[in-house]
Amino acid sequence: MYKRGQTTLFIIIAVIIVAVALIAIFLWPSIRDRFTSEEKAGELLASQIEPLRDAIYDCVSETSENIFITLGKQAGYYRWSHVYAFLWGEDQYVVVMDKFGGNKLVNRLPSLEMIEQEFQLALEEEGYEEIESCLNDFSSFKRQIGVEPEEKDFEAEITNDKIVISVDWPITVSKKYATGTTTQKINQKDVILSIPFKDLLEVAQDIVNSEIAGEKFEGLVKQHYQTALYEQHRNIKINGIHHPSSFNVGVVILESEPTRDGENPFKFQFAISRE
Amino acid sequence: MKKAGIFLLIGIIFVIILTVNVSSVPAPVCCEKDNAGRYCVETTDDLCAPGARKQSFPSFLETDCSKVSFCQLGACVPREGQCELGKYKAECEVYGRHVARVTDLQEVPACKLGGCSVNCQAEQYKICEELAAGNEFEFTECECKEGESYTSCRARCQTETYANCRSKSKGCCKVSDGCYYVNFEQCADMGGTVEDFFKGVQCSEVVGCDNVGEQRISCGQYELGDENKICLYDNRGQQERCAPESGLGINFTNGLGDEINYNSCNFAEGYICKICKEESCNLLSDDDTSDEVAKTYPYCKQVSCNNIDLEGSQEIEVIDAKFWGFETNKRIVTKVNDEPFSLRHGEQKCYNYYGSFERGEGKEDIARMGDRSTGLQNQYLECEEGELKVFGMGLDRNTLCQPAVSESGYGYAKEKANVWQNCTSCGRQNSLVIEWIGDVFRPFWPTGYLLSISLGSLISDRCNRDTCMEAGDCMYVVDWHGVFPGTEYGNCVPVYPPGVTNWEAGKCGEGGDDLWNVCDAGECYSLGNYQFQKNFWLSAGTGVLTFYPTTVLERLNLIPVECAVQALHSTAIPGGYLAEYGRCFTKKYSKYGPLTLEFMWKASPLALVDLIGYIDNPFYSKNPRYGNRQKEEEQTEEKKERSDPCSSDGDCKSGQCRTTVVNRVDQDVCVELNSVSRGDSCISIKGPADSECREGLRCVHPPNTMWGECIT
Repeated sequence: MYKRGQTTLFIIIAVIIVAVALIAIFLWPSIRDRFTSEEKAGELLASQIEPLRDAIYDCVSETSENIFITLGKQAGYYRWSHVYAFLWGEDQYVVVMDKFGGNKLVNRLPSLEMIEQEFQLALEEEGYEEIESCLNDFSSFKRQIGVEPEEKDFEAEITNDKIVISVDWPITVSKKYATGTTTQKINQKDVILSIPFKDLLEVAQDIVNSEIAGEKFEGLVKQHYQTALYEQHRNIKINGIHHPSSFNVGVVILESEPTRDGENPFKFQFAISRE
Repeated sequence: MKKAGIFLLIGIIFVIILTVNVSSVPAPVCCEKDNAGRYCVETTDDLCAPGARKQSFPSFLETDCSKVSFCQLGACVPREGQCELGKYKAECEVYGRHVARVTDLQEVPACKLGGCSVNCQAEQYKICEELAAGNEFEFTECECKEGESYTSCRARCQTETYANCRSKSKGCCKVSDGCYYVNFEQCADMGGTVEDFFKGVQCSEVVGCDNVGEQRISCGQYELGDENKICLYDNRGQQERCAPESGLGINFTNGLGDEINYNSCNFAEGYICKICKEESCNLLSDDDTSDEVAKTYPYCKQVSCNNIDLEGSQEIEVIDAKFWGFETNKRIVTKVNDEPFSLRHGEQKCYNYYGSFERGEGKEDIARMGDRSTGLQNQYLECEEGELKVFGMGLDRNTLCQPAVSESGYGYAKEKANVWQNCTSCGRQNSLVIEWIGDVFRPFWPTGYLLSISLGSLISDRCNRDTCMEAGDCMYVVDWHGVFPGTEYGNCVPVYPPGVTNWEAGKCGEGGDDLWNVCDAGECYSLGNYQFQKNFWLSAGTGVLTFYPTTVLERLNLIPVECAVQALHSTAIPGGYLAEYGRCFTKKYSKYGPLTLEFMWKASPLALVDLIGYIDNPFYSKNPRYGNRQKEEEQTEEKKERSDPCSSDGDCKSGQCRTTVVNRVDQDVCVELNSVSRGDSCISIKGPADSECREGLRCVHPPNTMWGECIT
């Protein structure tokens, strides 16, 4: 009887210890704040700002790169239901030059401005959600500091050799201390992607312009172009393949060769139809 | 009146039905942008995006959106980036300025090509302006040549621009971490401004730079356009003055203990600057007597490809503005007397295979593949630093290589499209049935000839050498020359066989006026990657099958002419010409019976004999109007046929010479008395007792004719 009573007591004590430990773990930030000085809080806040900005940079960078990879595969379009495309192998190629609906060749390659808008569209449709999911609601930071994100607005500027995404996303970070709260509003670093998107688009535009002007961008025309513009587009490979069923339909795959640290090969592909 | 009323009623009903039908379907409009985001689409009013401009089409037959003002096609000058061709106005206006109806970007000032001083590249004016970002810039416009495409013009412009611009704009750039001899663009990349750039000045001469000049000699920098020059360098590796190509050069050590005189390499003579990687090199690589330089010192390497001796190529030759390949196994020489030729570094030369060609004096335009062409392609050679490289132009052979020479005298390979697609359509302008009818008579004289000169393109679109060559890169090969003028036929095939395998260029035996065209090896090889296999039995069968109909057809073709001439004898009788022509026509054709297979079989030998005799004695020799007397006299020995004019019984082949009365005029003709059965044709003989008809029958004939019918 005595032994059974002892065992029950030990179990109760164990449960209490576990419960206290759990409460301590969950309430520790608040408890800690009660004992933190203003100076210490400021230091802690400062130490978390850069990791937070880096985390945002990484997530925005990864998401944006994925969006641009999609845009490259779809001739610069994010949503392309309004243009034509054909399936070849397992890939779908957006047709950027055709005579559909008329008897003249029409250039449907999106402009730089339109591609930047397509990027916005992609962000709104899935990009922002992905970034938030990547950051996991700042949970790892929120254990240390308060994080209050505001409205975000990203904009892409496509230049010849890189894409600069200006990340306008003010975030208020805060840290409580014994007698108050220290806060700071931070903005984000611009994300730079080493993708020569504009270069690739320029080559694509040259190809389409040439075709519309009546000169097939094949054989020697292509060879001369590549030789002459070696300096400008030296890192771009131009691969053109005729569709097996017609010489007038083909796909063009432009691929950039990486020359910088951390740069990956990037593809911009599209189809043209001379019919 | 009653009929008119019915028609009017039907018309009204038709119009009502049409109106009801048309009005129940929404009229299509040209919409600036539809709900799906497409620009310039033909759609219905309700599918247009809100606020988008729309316009009805002038008629239901004309629904081309590009004719509507806001959907005109043209060039687009975007606010940022390159000009774009073939853009709809409505789409372009979202991000730029539209110039309607432009088909060449050179027509738009902002899109004109030129050398841009900012980056030393051939750029569109607006791009150069964008690159300058508000700073001053030089833009040297490039004039595109007539017929030169925008892409080719840009490539040429780039080549011309690059070296000039780079060498013109170099100077010393003084930035925080040192002084560099670069061009302005590179200086700007390093953070330099206009004040930091000393154009044309070497860094060792700039105050504030600690560069010490003339420390090293090497090849000039590619980025400065000096890659073939031999230049001095300062202690910081910055390029300084370069040696001239000739005359007094730069005196500098050769690394072997001597001071020698360096001159820059003469690229036009095939030399480029290289760094010696051996123990020592001659200053001029192909001249053993020139000075030597040590390892790591610059020298001039001969990079022309000399004494090339290759065989088996053909060049495209332009004759009468048409392209022809010519002569096989001819060396690709540019010099006379079969001397081996040379190519300079970067120079190109066509190296083609088209098969066996025979063309020239005393030969026809037989320029055909002599064998199967699978795997052959047009190629061009390029000399790269003394090494000859061969580049294929595609096994589809849709691209041909045409030799060309640039303004600077450099040979280059010019691309030319192989236009073979329409060759076998030659002679097939009309519907198949009409063409076939025309082609049936084609080789037969005179019908074929008369048809071809009168109704040629209407009934049978003639394929001949001229029309064939107008169809593209095609050649006409005569299969049958014909006995008489205008009766030849042949086939029209690609000069340069395309690399096709599914008869895309037409089927063998179908080119030209194909009814009579028989597939042969040359035609087969000309049409693509095919192998010709001779089939004796097929050839023999075809020969036999065509022999009979052709023989008979030719004979039948001659009958109308023959009769027309023969009937001239009866012109003295009023109305006699046509009657005589009809009689002759009936008689001659009846000899060959109805046009059946049985007839063909039986008639052919007869027709052949007839034909041989006919060719030997052409009709005009019988005709006193056209022939000569001697021939006519010779013909008097010939016995007359029934109804032929005669003077005595002896003239007639059979029967007797009797007088008939036609239109009250007596005429003596050959008749066969008492021989014609009831219902058959007879000649009316003067006098009741005399008749061709058998006993008990009489010849009844219409007035004014000699022909009648034997009746009871």
